Formats: sequence, structure tokens, C-alpha cells
Amino acid sequence: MPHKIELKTVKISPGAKIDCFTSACISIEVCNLEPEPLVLDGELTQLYFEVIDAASGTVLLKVDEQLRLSMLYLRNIQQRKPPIIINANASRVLTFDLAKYYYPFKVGTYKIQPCFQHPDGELQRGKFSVLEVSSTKLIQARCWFENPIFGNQNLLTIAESDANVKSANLRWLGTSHPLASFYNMQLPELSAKTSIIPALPAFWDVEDFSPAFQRTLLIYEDSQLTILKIYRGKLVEKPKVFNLDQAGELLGSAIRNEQGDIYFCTRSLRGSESVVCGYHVNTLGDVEFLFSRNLKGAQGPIAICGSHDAIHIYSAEPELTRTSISYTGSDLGSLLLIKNKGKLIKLKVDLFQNRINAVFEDIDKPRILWFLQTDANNVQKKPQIQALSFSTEQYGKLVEIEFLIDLKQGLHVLRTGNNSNLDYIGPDKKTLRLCQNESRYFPCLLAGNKENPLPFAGFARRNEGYRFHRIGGLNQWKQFLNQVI
Amino acid sequence: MLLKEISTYKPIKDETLKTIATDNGVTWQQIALISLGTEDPKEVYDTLRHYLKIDPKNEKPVCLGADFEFEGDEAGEDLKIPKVWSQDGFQHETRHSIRARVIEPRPYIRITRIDDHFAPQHEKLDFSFRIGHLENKKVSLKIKSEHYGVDDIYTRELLAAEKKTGSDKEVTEEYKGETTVETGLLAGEKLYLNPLYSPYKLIIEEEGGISDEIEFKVLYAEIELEQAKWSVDDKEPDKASDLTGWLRWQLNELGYFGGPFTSNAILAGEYLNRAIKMYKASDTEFQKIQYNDKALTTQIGGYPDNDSIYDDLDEDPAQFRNLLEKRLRKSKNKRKFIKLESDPFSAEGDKGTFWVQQVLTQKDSQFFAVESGTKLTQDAARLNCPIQPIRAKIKVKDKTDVAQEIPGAVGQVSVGWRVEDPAETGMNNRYQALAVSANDNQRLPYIQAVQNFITTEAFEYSDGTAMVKNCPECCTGKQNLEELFYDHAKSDGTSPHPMAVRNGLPCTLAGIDPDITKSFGTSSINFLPSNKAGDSFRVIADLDFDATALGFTADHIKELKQDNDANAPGVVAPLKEGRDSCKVKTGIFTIRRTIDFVRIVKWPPDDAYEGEMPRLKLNFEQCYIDMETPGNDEKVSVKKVMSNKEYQKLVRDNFAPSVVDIKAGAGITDDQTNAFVDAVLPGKKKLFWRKFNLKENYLYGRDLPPQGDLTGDEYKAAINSLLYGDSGFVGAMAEKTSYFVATKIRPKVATGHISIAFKSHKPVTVIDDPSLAKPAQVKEQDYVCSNFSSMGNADGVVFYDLGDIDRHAYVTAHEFGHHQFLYHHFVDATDDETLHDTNDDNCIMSYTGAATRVEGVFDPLFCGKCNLRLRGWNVSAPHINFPAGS
Repeated sequence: MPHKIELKTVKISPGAKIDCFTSACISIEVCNLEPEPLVLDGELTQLYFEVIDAASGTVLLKVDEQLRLSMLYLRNIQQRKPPIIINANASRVLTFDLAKYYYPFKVGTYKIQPCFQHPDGELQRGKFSVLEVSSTKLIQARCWFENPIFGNQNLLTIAESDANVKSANLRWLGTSHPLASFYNMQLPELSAKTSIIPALPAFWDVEDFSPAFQRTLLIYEDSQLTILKIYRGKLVEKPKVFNLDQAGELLGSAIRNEQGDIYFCTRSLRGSESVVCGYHVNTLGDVEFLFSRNLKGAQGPIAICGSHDAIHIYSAEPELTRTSISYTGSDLGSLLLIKNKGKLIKLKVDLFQNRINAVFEDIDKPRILWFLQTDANNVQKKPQIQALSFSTEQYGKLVEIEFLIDLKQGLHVLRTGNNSNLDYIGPDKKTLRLCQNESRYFPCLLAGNKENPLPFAGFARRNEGYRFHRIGGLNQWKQFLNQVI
Repeated sequence: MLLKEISTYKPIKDETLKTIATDNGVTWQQIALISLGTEDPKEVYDTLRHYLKIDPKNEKPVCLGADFEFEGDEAGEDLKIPKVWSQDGFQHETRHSIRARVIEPRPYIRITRIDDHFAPQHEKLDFSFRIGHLENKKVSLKIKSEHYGVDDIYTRELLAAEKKTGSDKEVTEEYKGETTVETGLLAGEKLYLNPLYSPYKLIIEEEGGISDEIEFKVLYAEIELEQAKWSVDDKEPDKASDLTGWLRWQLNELGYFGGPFTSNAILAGEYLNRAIKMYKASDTEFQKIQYNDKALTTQIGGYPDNDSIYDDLDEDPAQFRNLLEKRLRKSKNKRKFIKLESDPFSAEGDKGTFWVQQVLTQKDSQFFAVESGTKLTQDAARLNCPIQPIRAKIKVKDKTDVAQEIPGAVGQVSVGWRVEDPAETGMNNRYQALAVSANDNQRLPYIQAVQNFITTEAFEYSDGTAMVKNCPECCTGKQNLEELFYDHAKSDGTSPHPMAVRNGLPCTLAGIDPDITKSFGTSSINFLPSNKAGDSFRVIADLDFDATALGFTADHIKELKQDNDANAPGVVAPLKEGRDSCKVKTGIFTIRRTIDFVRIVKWPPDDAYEGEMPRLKLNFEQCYIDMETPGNDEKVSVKKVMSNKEYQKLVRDNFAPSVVDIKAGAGITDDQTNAFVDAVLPGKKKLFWRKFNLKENYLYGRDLPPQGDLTGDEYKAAINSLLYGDSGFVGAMAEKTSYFVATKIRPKVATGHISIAFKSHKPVTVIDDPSLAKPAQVKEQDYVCSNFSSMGNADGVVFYDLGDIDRHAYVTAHEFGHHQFLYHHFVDATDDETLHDTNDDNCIMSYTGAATRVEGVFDPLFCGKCNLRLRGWNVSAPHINFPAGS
């Protein structure tokens, strides 16, 4: 006779109605109705969910440990998990964060059905709960690699309601596999004018793991800076708020060290110059002015990054037919790093890979884009430059562009045009139209690792939220794009 | 008695002298005396032969003259019929003159006996003759052959004693097959009659007069094969005058297949280039240079993270020429490349083995192997085929049919060369008996199916000989005999055995130059079998009795070798047609590959891994790859190969933060940089790596961070990430630590696999949830990462994680497989499954835990396709249907 139990769903958070950028947490109560302890060993005895399409009754997904591991790790691993013991005639609530098992679900109505597999193989199903997933308008998505030790990819998505209220979601994606996430959290509501940036880590040494479980976001509006500190997937402390008079525009990222110190930079335009100011927020919550740099002619994009002992500023200076990218440190003045034909339209510095990535547009023939990557450690080394031509008829005018040069020197490009298409152009120069009929996709490309160098492409779709797909050829794309949930 | 001729008479058929005499009322002696000058019964027939010109075909074995039956068609003189002269009526006491003449005996020559065949030089040609009444004439002994034109092959004048009338005479000056001719292929002091021009005629001839002749033969007996030296003249080239030849010779001697001595200069050059490069890569002194010379290591192309080395030592002999010559001169670094079990060259039942070096990924680590070329391109670029010159000693029969080796009596005969592909033996044991379960039975049928395909689709060598199991050409094997055999030449490319292809077979001529001793009377060739492990060959050499090639008629040629009927001694067997009449096979030569497991760096030092070695070797044994495993002296603690300072440097260079170091590009001084750092982030410079120290037992050389307030799951995830994340310690250290260890070991042992067997970190205690009250805490003692990462890194170095849940032998074989250019099976969606037998769930190139691995069966070996790939096959060949499902 199977062990007599009772299963019921006691809570769905943040609620039974969520959007497609949010993952729910499901709490299930398991009541042990026998005078013997109930042992969930995860092998013979398992508790899991089925996700069922409410309309058709089709089981779309079995959400169990196997799924979680397959989403979190590239290779098959064996996780030794201790058994869960529920005492005789007692109950226990187990909470499952779906973010750890799968992507947020597509728009639709689902039944969440708890299932219990008894040691003899008999399956007991509890009462299902309904989860409604709705669409929302994404207005910003930012993906970054957090730190080398607890090396998550992070995805910050900001959606906007019809009432112009912004909601933000932060997911800490899997270590080597940006599919599922360790933590998934909703951030406080923001006003329409607010910008939000991450503070990127600038440390390496690990005396203890707590800095690796921290995330810091900076919210900026009307010269007011709010710092959100997040620890283990939850907001900690009361957000600190500072006034920065006449600070100008906040640069796109800040820097955080393992002690929790924050460094951020602002930029103001004075004629043809950009003035970059660096600030330090110490652990006591004081904001200190650190330095000011006048970047002559730097009217283009500016990127900063930090190492464990410095802040590095990269700025673009447009000229008539070309653009220069310069490096600035403290009072050393600007040092020219790269000069390239065309207009700079994107500049990224990847601290962890020591790369400066830039996209230039040919001034005479805007359909031609130059993709440049150089070693930030050694700018004397000749940069890699690859060019692609995009006809307006086929691709539309450029809206979004992302590129990555993989470990095999292959160029991968994601491009959105004003014809509402998202195209992928692979190292073989072949184009695959991934999506249509959406104005923005917020694409990003993440490098693979040495074990599997194929990169991941991430992009948003209105009804499906933000997902990552490994670039593995046309057939695999089709397979991924046709996933049921 | 006086005789008077009264008439002439032409005998008619079946008449004899006796019958004619009776018919004419005289005695046969009287007819013989007046017609032939003799009445001696022993001489009558001999003279009849000459003067009546008896057709030799009508000669009877025994002729006693008067009883010889004429055919009636004799073309010579008519018989004279006499009567005894008598005259009556002479007046007494009157002087009468009667003129009569004495009948002079007429000369004759008759050769009465000769050897059917003999072995020139080895023995004399025995013959007897009768001669009469030629004492005062010039009489010669001559040898001719209708196949040699009009010239006398041999001639000499008979000595006086030899000419003296008599029976059963033999020459006093014996004849052993010498030649006196001055033109043609028999002209030469050390040349003797040979079978090519058989049959010969021995002639005894009176100058301008009568003669007699008789036929005899010189016959081939057999071919005997033997192992030949690298050059056809057996001479090691002189280094000063022929450096290329000297290098080639030395590299051949040391087992690097430096190239055949052949007229094919292009092929020889390609072999030499590959061999020089392979030698340098296999030599410890060159490895020292390779790992220590900064100028070389900075040439490394491709991925900056990979320390490629092998391309830096090139094929140019001028690169480090002095060292190269020195090492070769001292015969350093000789490798086992051939083993002969008894003498497979001369005995079909004996065996031989050629060992080819298995190529490793030297430039790149496992997953980048494709960047520096697949196994196929690497094999093609770096591997030579074995080289084995084989000499065919051609023997002739003596009078007693014993084969004699007489170089001067062989002639310029042609020897054809071909191969047989013997069936593979011991397949059950090799492919199936190893499996732990009867259900694990995919490999044997796979190999059988491949072999079945080869036979049913009639794959054959270029001469039409059927293949059985060897690697076909479309899979990079060899089928064209012209690629299996090349002419055998001197260092300058000239050969006494020029090669031509006839009827699909490479054929080489036997040498007729007595000054090239080894080639005189023999024919040799370079046999270059494939380098595919598991291929095996018998070489077949035969006398190429291709009449056209030698300029003879087929009827003539097939008579050059006659054998007695095996069932009827003394009776000549029916003549065999063509080359089957004289062929010989070698024993079976099998190609194997070698790659040794040369060192284990133990980290911690307490495990000897001895029990795993036989299982490891079995994986490769199935693929005809021999592997030596490390002895106890070759298993060393990490502290024997690395100091604490060196370990810290590895940490600093590979795990330390990646500081954006703009100095190199911008020319900023250290002081300026420090000023900047101090100004912006005071006190942040850290000597991070100094917190790490080399631990004998663990790779991670410091204590793990404490758990703090993290939950057990978070803490474990963090530890796993610290060690095994994308930038985790193990991954960061793996390649460069492997490279570093190689720098220490390669100067002592240049080639082969190295394994660094490490534990990743010191075990820790994990508390389930620190926020709970202490009694509720669940402790997990001695937690070690559930993750693990074993890698096959560049230059054959395995970074083996002792936390790996698989058996040591499995993981090591798997990583060795990567080193040998194998890819994953059932691991990732991007795996190229065309390189695997997808019916085989237990390929060792998959991971434990793969859904496909059969529970309870799993005892992995290389799948059928991996097996073939390791041997060197192209399993993606479009022209071969590998078994369904593969």
C-alpha cells in the first residue's frame, strides 16, 4: 500500500497572474497521514509539478530535478541531495521557485499540478492551481556577466504598463548555461523617467562567498541616485538615496568591489567635450567625488569598467570620416587606442574577456557595418575587424545590433531592422530570420565556454518573454523556437 | 677387297642398310664402306646422320647403323651400291695396272648425352659425344639460343685430345655455362647462361663442315624473399656528400620512416619532411628547446590561450641542424617500429609487425582539435607509412632440382609484386569477449558489417585481388599497388631494378650488374604498406613471365620454370601458365600503432592507479594500438614537478584578476600606473596569488571560503562555481598547468600521454541551513564538489579530476581519445554523431549518466567508428556504407 499523503497547493507568488518575464514560486503542502515518517529521497519518491495547458489539457512540462539540472548545467552532473523527511502525521510546505527550473512561461493559462510518485511507482496527483501569464511591453533589457567566481549571467528586464508604470525583474541566470536561474526577483516599481544600471563587480579575491551573492543596481532620476543592494535574491537594507547636483547623465554601468564600495561615473557635455566625473559611495553611505576628466571631442558612446584596482574609461570621438576610441585613466590624459573608419554606433568593454567591442557604420554607405574587437590588455595588437553589408530592402534600417566573435574567431550578429525583423547572421554569413513583427527584441549574445564554444543568443518576444538559445545551426534554432512553453 | 660403285640408291621408307644390301646382293658393310667410309657398326649411324642428313626428329634412341630404318625422305647423299670388283682374264705374267683408292673414313660428330638442365657456375654441364676423323680439323664447341639471335653465346675450339676420334668422350675443359659473347645481356665476365634464353643448343662443329647439336636448359627454381636494407646497394650514404640520403637512412634506422630510397623524388622528399618533424617532436633535446626557447613559443599562432608547440619545430633540416645531426649520429631516440617473429619474409607461417606512431593533438586541447585539423589531416600531414625494402632472391635449378642461388645465372627477369589481405583472426576475443555483459555486443557486429561490406561490394586491389578487411582507399587506405610498392634505388635515385606496371602489377627487373652485389641476380622493391592500424598484408612476389615484357613468346616463357609432378617423382608436371608458375608469399605483416602513457603526476600522491592500467590498455588494444603504461618510477608526486613559486605563478597568470593593463599599448610607466591606482583606488593592489600555496593533496591551494550565512545549497553551488564555473579555478588552471607539467616532463620523455591526477579542493563541512537552530542543522561532512572536470589538454596531457564519478580507466581512455582526435558521443546536441556508431550506447566517448548508456551494461569501450577512426580510417567516406545506425 502506498504511503497515505495529501497534496495541496498553498501559495503561488507573486500571484496567480504574472507576466511573461516573471517566474512564479509554488508552495506545496505535503501532509503525511501515516504514523511513519515520509522520506522523499528524490529517486524512488519524488515530488514534482506538471505544467498543463489549461485549454487542451496537454502536459507541457514535467518540472522535476532532472529538468532543473539540465537547465542549469551544460553537462550531465549527479547532484547528491539529502532526502527530505516529513515526520509522522505532520506536514511540510515545500516551495519551488520555477525560475530555477525553466524560463518564465509564455503567455497563456496553465494548470500547475503537483504530483507525488510513491516508491512503488504509483503516481498521486494533487489539486491543480491555475496560473495566468500575460503579455507586457518590454522597454529595456540588460544582460551582463556578474563575476568570475559565482559566474552568473544577469538579466534585468524592465517592462512598462499602460499606465506608464515600470516594473523591473532581475534574474540571475545559470552559471555556464543561461537558461534557468538561481534567483528571480521583482524590483520596486519605477517611474517613467527612471534609468537603472547595474554596478559591475571589480574584484576577484574570495575570502568569503558573500560578495558573490550580492547584486547592486543604481536607479537615477532627476539628480537623485538610489542604490539597491540585493543579497541572495532579496533586497537588503533600505535603499540609499543620494542627491547629485548637476551631475549630468549617469554612465551605463557602475563598479562594485567586494567590500560593497560603489564607484559610478556621470557624463556632462560641455561644447565638444564630455566631462566624466567619478564618485565613490563608501560602505557608510557617503558619496565622495573622486575625479573629473575632460574628454576632448568625446561626443560618442562612453564605457567604463573597473578592475580590482582601477577604473577605466573608454570614450569615442567622432571625426569627419572616422571615429577614435580613447582610453582615459586618472590624470594621464587621453590615450588613443583605436581609429577606425566610420561612425561608432556601439561600444562595449568586456572586462572578463579583456575585449573592446565596437560597431562602426560606414558613413558613405550606411548599409556596411564594421565589427571591431580588440584586446583591451594590448592595444598594440591589431584589432580584428570584419565587415557585413545589410541591404535596406532585406534588413530594414538598423534598430538594434549585437555581435560576438567566438573562440573560433567566428562572427555572430543579431540585428533588428525597422521592418520588425530579428535576423541572425552566422560566421558563414548566412542569415536566419529569427522573429518577425516586433519592433524591438533587446538582443544579446553570450559567449560559450571552452567546453562548448557555441554562443547563446538571447532576445525577447512579446508573448514569450526573454529566452536564450544556443546557436547550433538552423535545425537547432527551429527546434528551440518551437518549444512549447 | 675392291669395291666398285655400280649405282646409287635412295632409300625408301622402312628400308635398312641390311635390306638394301640383301636386295643388291652385297653386304651392308660393303654399302657402308663405299658410302660412309666405315663399316664399323658404331660409326655407321653417326656418318649416316651427317651425309644422308637424317632428320633429327627421325633419330631413334638406339641405332646400330645397319638396322636403322630410313624414312625415305632423307635429304642428303644417296647410298652407293657397290659390288666386289672382280675381273677375269688377266694374262699371267703380264703387268696389269689397276687403279684403286683406299676408302677414307668420313668424319662424324655425334653428341650422345647432355644434362637436361643445369645450374651454371654452380656445376658443369655434362655431355658426351663421339667424334671421328677430325683430328686435323678445326672443331669448335658452341652455345647458341634462338632467343639470343645469331651470335654464339659461347664458343671455343676443341682441344686435340677432345677431337681425337672416339666414343663417349667428354670435354677435358669443363663447361659451366660461361659466355663469350660480346653483345647483349649475356655479355660479361660474371654472367652465365640463364633461364631466360632457354633452351640452349650445344653445338660441336667442324669449321666449314659437319656439326652436331643438342638442346639443354637452364631453369628457374624459386624465389626466396628476404629483408633488404634501405638502399639498393646496402650503402649508408655519406653525410658530407649526400646529407639528404644520410638523414633518410638514419631516420629509417631509428624508426621514423625517413623515406624510401626510390627514384620517386617527390615521395621521398615528403617522407623525409614528415620524418624530420616527427623526430624533432619525439626527441627530448628538441623538446627542451621547444619548451624553453622564448623565440619559438612566441611563434604560436591560433588561440593565444593555447601553447602550441609542435609547429615550431619544423621539417627543415637546417633548423637546429647541428643538433639534429648529432642526435641522429648517436642513434638517439630509437623507437620500436618493427618486430619479426622468426622470418616472415621467407616463411608464410611467420609474422611481422610494423608500428606507426599515433599522432596526438599537440597544438590544441581537446575541443579545439578540429581547428588544427582533424585526425585525418593530421595523420596525412605528420604520419609516414612503414617502409620495408624486400629483396627477391631468384634461384635456378641444379641438375638435381635443388634451388641454387647463382646471381650470374638469373638474368634480367621481371618480378611482379602484389599483396593479399588476410582475414582478421580472433575477432570474438578482440571485440566481444571484453564486454562485461552479453548485452554489450555492438562492436563485433559493427566490425563484421564493415568487413562484410568490403567483401560484398568487391573492394579490390588494383590488380583485381579481393580485399577482405583492410582500410579501403576511400577511407584513406591503400588499394593501388603503385602506392604500396615503389622501386628500390640507390641514394641518388638510380635503381638496378627499374619498375614498370604490367597487368596492374608493379614489376621490377632483376639486377645484372655484378658490381652492385646485393642487387645482382635479385630484384628488390620498397614495400610501403598503409599506416592504418589493423591492416595486414602478405606480400606476393612472382616471376613475371609476361612474354611481351621480356620479348619472348608465351610458349617459351612458360618453360622457364618446370616442376616435377608432385605425385610422380621424375615426371615433369604440366607447365603452368604465367606468373603462377613461380611465386612466393611472405608471412602476415600487421600494422599497429603505438602511443605510450608515460607519466602520472599524482596530486595527492597516495594513489598508484595500478589496477586501472590493464583496463585502460584494453580500449586501445581493440584498435590495434599498443600502449605502455607508467611504471612506479614514472608516477611522481606533484612536488617533484612543481615548486611553490611555480604554482603561485600559475595562479597569478591564470586565476588572478584580469587587470586591464594599458601600459603595454600606451607606454605608461609603472610609476604612472601606481600613481593612478593610488589616486583612484588607494590600497587596492593585492598580491592575490600569494594566498595560494602548492598543496600536495589538492589543486586549490588555500582554504575554501567559509559558509557564512549561505544555505547548504548556496554554499555548495558557490564552491562548485569557484572551482568549476566558467572562470572557475579548475578550468582556469587546467590548460596552463598541463602545459607547465609538459615543460617539465617533455625534456625527459618527449612523447606519449601524461596524466595529472588531482583532487580539486580540501573537503569541507556543509550545514544545511545556518539560520536554523543548531539542533536542526544537517551537517554534511567532507563535502567535495559534485562537479568535476577532466580534460584532454594539448600535447597529450590529461587533467584528470579524481572527483570524476567514472572509473579512472574510463576517464583516461576518454581523454586519451580526445588527444587522438575523437569527439564526444551523446554528450551535447552539437556532437557530430556521424563520427560514432549510434547503435552503440556504450561508447567511451560519451559521459557516464548519458541517457543512452545502458544501465547495468555500461563498461565502455570505443564504439565501432571510434575504433576505426583511431586506426586512421576516414569513417565519413562517401563511398562506403558504414553499418546502419552509424
